[in-house]
Amino acid sequence: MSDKEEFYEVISKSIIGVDNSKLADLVGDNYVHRIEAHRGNYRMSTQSTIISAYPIVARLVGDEYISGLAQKFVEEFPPKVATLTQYGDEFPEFLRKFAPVQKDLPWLSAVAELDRAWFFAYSAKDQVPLRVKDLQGKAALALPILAPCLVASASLLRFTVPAYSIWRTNKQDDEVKPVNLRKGAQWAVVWRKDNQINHQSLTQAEYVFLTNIEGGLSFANSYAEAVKYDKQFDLQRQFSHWLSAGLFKGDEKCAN
Amino acid sequence: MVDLSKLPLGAGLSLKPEHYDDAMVCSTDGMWFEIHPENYMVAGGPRLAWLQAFCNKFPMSFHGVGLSLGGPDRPDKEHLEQLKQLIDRFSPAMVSEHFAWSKLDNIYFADLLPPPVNDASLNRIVAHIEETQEYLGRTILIENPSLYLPVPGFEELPQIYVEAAKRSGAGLLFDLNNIAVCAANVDLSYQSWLDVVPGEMVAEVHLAGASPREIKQEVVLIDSHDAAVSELVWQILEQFIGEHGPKPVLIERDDNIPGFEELLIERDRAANIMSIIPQEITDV
Repeated sequence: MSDKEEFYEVISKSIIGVDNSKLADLVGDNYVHRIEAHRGNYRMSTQSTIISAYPIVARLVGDEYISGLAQKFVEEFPPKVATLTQYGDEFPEFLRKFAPVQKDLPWLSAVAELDRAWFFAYSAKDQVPLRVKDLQGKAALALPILAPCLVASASLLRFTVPAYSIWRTNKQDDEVKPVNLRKGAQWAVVWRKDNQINHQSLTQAEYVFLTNIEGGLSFANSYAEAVKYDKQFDLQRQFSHWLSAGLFKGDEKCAN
Repeated sequence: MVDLSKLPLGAGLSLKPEHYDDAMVCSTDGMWFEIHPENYMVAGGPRLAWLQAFCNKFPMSFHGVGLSLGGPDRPDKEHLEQLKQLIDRFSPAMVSEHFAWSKLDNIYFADLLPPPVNDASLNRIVAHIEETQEYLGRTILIENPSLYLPVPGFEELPQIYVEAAKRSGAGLLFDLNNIAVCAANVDLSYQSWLDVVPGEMVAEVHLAGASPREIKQEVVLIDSHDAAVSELVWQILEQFIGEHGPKPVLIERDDNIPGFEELLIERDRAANIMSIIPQEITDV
């Protein structure tokens, strides 16, 4: 290792706490402890990024617990790039596998997915949604074969626990409502329209319908899949609702 | 030499989302704002919409924190490309980065670490600045680092900081809080910076607050940007402006962020210092 590389290696290993045995050679015995200034900066910047990116998770578990979770996460997944706004994608999966959370708060990783979906919707690329006027002039018979895809900001989520109810009441209610954890599976969609982040609970049939639209199937074929879960599934009503909600992408091509 | 006319020769503020509404309607004469481009490296959405609105109304400075120009590796191509896209889209009046490193072996330290102070390091930083300027197609400013550790050769840090800018054609972003932090933590007086930094190369000045942190019964002054500008830093500003004339001066605040009005008071104090300096004292 060259001298120039050794300088960086010594500082780097000292900051992440794996080895500061050579730091004294670099800065002198009397100053080794000051590496804590850089350690503190690293710790605070990375952990606060995770905490602010997952506000509902943080609210649910409290300051001390979220700091501990963020610390563990940073140790396992240190940031690789300087765009910290994008840091923390793996946090929901980390929570899912982290034994203490798995045991005591098995719904927490699902709530984290919703926090991430909100951030994703907030920062996804701008797209013009499909509008009623885009469909004017198209024959009514042509509509079922349209396959417009969803806007880039949309996330479709499914949970085996009532994560959406937990997340929503903590996100928007002045007084948090109790959630029955035995409520079972839930489905939800998060997206952005006109720079506003929207979210909504879905039925299983709606989830299947939108998942297939997102996968590139036409309205007719997506309907055929949805109706397997709900014989009363109303394509006309669904189409109108999601069209006005700005969930369908505006141009003909599906690729985001 | 960097075109000093691009930012107003007055005082500006770092722009925080908490202040978007107040800042957008701010009518203070000569106001300008600075952002960290890394916070806007997103595909779309409200944050970029806000940035567009500010760029339409105010002179803007983009102050990067992630290129790790003082590191052993060349600037990250993906990061450079994201920065270039922002610059091409928003055409900021000024672009700056740090004389520091923040990345090694695929770990980003979210900190501005001082580079080694030697000839090899100087050559490397010059090459990194040149590569950055070439990629971006414009001159950038380089900010001096803070020191908590007496890294080998730190006494020569002001000299190689200036030399790197001279050799690469970059301008200087002179952070007066950082030189106060250096003076508090290692044997490097703020005067030793003022003696070496050529005023005519300084195209932007930063002021910020620092906070003491006790580490093993020793108090270390941290460049935390979480407090008001100290009286010492105001004195250094008066001295620097008195010698070199008005400059674009920024009040930085990144944490423990107060209301916009409180920051405006600091901003106005900086503007006032420059207004009482005779205009003929200038390097421009």
